[in-house]
Order: sequence, then structure tokens, then C-alpha cells
Amino acid sequence: MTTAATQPSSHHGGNGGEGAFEPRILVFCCNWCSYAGADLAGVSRLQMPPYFRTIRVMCSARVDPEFVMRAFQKGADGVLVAGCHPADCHYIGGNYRTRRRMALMKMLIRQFGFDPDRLKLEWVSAGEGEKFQKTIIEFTNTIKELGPSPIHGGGG
Amino acid sequence: MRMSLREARIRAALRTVEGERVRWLLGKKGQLTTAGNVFGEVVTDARYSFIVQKAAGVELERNLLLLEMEAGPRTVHELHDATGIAKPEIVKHIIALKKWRLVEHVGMKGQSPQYMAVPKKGQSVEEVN
Repeated sequence: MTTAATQPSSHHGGNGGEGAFEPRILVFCCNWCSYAGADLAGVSRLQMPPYFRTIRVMCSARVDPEFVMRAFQKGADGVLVAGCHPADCHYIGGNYRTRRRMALMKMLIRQFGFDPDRLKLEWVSAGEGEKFQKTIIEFTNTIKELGPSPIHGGGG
Repeated sequence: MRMSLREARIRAALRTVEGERVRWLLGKKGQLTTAGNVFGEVVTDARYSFIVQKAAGVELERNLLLLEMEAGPRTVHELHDATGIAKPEIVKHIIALKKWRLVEHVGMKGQSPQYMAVPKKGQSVEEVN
């Protein structure tokens, strides 16, 4: 698995106060669509909250349920999986597997004591830099509303 | 060093999704809900969700108990105090775990039997992070 930390915008928006909750978000991007979308958002200088780190995977279907749980165990407050749009998968049907798996993972993380909204699946193509930005902003806001993850003493 | 129940639950959850039972179920959704199982019985989506949730719940509890028993010998009473799982459920889980040779009876504490997790081959008792 290749990892790369994208450079989110230098704009530290929205959460300036001392001791304010700064969520830690992990974004899994597929190599062929979403990572290029994230790159486009970066080179287009679209402003995004600086609380996310990106891990590039060859396909969103590479994201094992174990990766998601391990991210939560290591302190992530939210996990976003971004893949190609349905029918656009480079490997034909990887994203369909991801969709099915993430739906089940949402069910499981609820059982494990996490709010299912802490896990999100989104389709972002290589030309959708703005959608990537919008997704990150929305997801960051969702996580801020939910508060810290249970591993940090949050509610769920 | 004893870990908090919250930390133990998360570790148990991680083991649950790493475990064979849940992974097998997650990977077989398409087959079970369309082609059916080896007997040709097709499982509905609702039934499938119920099965996965039940399996995950059971595995979570068993992993929680295993984590506790990896720290040392425990009686059912001690396991109940540490995890909050009902004692009859703990007994059921221990019977299953003994069957799979994941725990063993190591002695008695008063009149209560003590159980301890069997270390896997090539794995130390300490949790590998």
C-alpha cells in the first residue's frame, strides 16, 4: 500500500480556539480516480480543513475492514473511503465490493460502539476536485459535530 | 498492565473484523444473497444482516473474554466483573472457546474453575500492536 500525505490547504479554517476539538480524519483514496481528484483539488488551491491525511490505495476495494478498525484504534475520529464512481472502476467491480463492505462495516462499527457516521464512502472521480473539497468539508463538519471518537473518551 | 474496558472493547472489535468468521461472512454476501449456500438456500438481505450482526456480537464478546484471559487465569465471576457480560453467556462462550482450544482450565480458585487463554503458536501472550 502506497501512502502519501496530501498537502491540505494552508488555510487553518474554522477551529482556531485553544483546546478546540481538531478531528483526525483518515481518507483512503483509490489510485485511479479519488487520489487524482484530491490532487486536482490541491493544484486548484481549493480550501479544505487541514485535519485529514490521505492514504492512496490501488482500489477502494483494497480497504479492508481491518484497516478501518485499526484506524479507529490508532485514534482516527473519522474514516472516509473515496473510490471511483460505480461502473468506472479500473478493476471493473472493485467499488461495488467496497460499497457492500462499507455498508456492513457501518453496521458493525455501530455494534462496536462507534457512530456509523464516522465512516463514510464517497465516489470521487479524477475530474471532481470540487466534489473532493465539498466531501472533506462536510465530513469534517460531521465529525466535529460528533466529537472525539470513543478511544479519546467521546460518546460514540 | 490492565487495560480499560473501552480500550479492550476496541481491541476486541479489531480482532473481530480480523477474525475468520466475520471476514468470511462479509466476503460471502453476494453469493449467499444471490446464488445461495451449498444447499442452494438463498438468504434474504434482512436475514443476512441479522446473521452478520449476531456473529459480530458473539465474536466481540468472545474476543473481549479472550483478551481478559490472556492477562492471566480468570474465573467466570472475575470475567463478569471485568467485562460486564452476563455469567450464563460467559459460560457458553467458555464452552465454545474450550472446544476450539483457545482457552484451558488451569486450576481452581475456591470452588470456581479458572480459565486462561492458550497462546497461539509463534505468538507471545502480550498483544502485538
